[in-house]
Amino acid sequence: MLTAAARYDASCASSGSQRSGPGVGNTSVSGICHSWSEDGRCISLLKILMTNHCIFDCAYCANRRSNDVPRASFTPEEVVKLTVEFYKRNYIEGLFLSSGIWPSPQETMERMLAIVRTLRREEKFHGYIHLKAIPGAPPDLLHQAGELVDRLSVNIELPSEASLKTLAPQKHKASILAPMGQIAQEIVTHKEERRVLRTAPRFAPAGQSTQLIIGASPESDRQILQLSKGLYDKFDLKRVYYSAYIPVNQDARLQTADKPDLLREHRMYQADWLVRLYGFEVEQLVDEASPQLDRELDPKAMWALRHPHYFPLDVQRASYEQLIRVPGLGLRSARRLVSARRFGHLRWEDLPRLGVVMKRARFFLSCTGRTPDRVPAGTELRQHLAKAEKQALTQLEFAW
Amino acid sequence: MVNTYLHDGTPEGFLSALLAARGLDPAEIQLPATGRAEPELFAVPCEVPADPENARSWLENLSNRHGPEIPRRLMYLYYSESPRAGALALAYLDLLETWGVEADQHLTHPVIRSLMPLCQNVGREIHRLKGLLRFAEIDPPALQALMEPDYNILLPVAFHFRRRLGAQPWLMVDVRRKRAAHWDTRQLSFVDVAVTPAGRTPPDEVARLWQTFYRTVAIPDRKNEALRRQHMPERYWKYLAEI
Repeated sequence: MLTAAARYDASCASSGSQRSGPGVGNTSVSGICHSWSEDGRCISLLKILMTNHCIFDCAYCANRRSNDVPRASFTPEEVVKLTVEFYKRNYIEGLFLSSGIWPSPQETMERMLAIVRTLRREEKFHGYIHLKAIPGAPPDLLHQAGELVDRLSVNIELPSEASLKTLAPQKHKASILAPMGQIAQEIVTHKEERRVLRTAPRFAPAGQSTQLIIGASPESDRQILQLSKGLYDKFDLKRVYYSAYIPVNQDARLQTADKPDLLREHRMYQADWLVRLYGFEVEQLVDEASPQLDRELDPKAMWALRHPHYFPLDVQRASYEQLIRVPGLGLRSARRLVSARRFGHLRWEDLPRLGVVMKRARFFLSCTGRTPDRVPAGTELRQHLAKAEKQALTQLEFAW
Repeated sequence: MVNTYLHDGTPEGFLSALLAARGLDPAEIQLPATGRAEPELFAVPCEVPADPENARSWLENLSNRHGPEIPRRLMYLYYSESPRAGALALAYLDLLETWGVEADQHLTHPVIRSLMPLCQNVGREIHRLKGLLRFAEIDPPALQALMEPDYNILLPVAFHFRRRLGAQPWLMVDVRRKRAAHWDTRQLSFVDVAVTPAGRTPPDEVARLWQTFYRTVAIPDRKNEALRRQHMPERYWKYLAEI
């Protein structure tokens, strides 16, 4: 039951930390997935709620106070035992502990901290721990938690203060942003201390992340992406997770939906990656005139269609930064292209071997000064790309 | 005419055979383990004895000259059990002489083009099994894990779990190759096993809790069987406690 309640947290990352020592376990910098559930999402952490009792009454949440659902709690011993036993059998990479707020933010956080402390100090557990910081918990508890766990996260859930006010009246922008600011600050100061003194404690070495619910409130894709960009810049977040809203409550304050909008979630992730790793500005993907991401085509293809003058790019001469803007080229294939071309002129037939998806990329590249026989433009090009995209989405089993 | 250099099937044996064949034309070399050689007309197989010390110092030397990637790549070729592993390794070593580590960047070169995907596949399976391997409790109190990997990767997987689960004894069996790794909390040893355990161990209480967790953590509204199979191919399901 407490797993069913925790499953809507999107993060399962176990990467970015290196921890080991006498006792049980270590962490791997690259992270390890241990299984994949029926929904195709990876399982790497034992993801549970300490309790689903809650004093908050957030409209989107199955565990809100006003819902008549069965309530349960783990004892600290149960969580510790389950974590260690699962870890020993290699079911999991570590623990992801979250909780309903009961009886107060401070006491909830203290209890979670006690579990983590037992795991680290008494069980000598060196596996990965992701702790959800409780909004409104005192800063010194957060400080103690950071020195014990690998990742801390504070969920924003709703992408604007207005939506928070309507849908999660007990949460405030300040009670969410304050702990995020503190975590970001402590990560920096601890890193500086460690530069001077190697034995100084680490603080959440795998960084912090957050989650936004998509589709429960009326914000546009543009607003949400601007918020994410701000969070990456200001708090140096490792990841922002997007979660298509799954209707678990009947509530007039919520946007209506029968099914989670997985396609919109997918597009948000694509745009997030473009902004975070590909050097795109939010405004280049969504602007005032069209604040929503296109559903039929991915955001990179849309950008390429709007900028025909940028193409075709010569595979031999274009810079890496230019190449990663080509639909069908990823970070890795662009890197490979740049490596391989130093040894001689690349031919068309070399490109697929380097990982270039020709179905898309062939419209945007030129090779030894030549483009394919006929390059379509405008609407026709869009149709070509849409066809390739539809195939890709069908493979991912997106409903159309 | 193809020159055949036979080795004893151990990593040291493979490396020793590589050393013996260095300098010859890779196109005319094969380096199978004894008993796995393809019969070759007119070929005179040459048996190379394993020389662990020499092999080790050679790897160290390669690592110092070109970086730790190179010994790892040779080992991945060994794990791959590909009939072309020996010839590819020799051709790769020749490229290293010419280009140094830069050779890795020459992605359109036929040798690099064959070698890199092979090494990637081996690496992918090692990484997968670090996650998908399942231990079960057996008598006397110890942990046991069974696997049937495509490649011969018992060695690197065992190294991983020596670091991770060093405090307790365990046994890890490659059912297909009838090889086992045994860790007694101090020493790791590899042995041939005549009889391998049949199927997976019946679930105990912890395994049943794990099954429940596995079922509940999936979000029913997001069911996506294709995606699950893409990440976790069915050939690995046999020993998973959760399925």
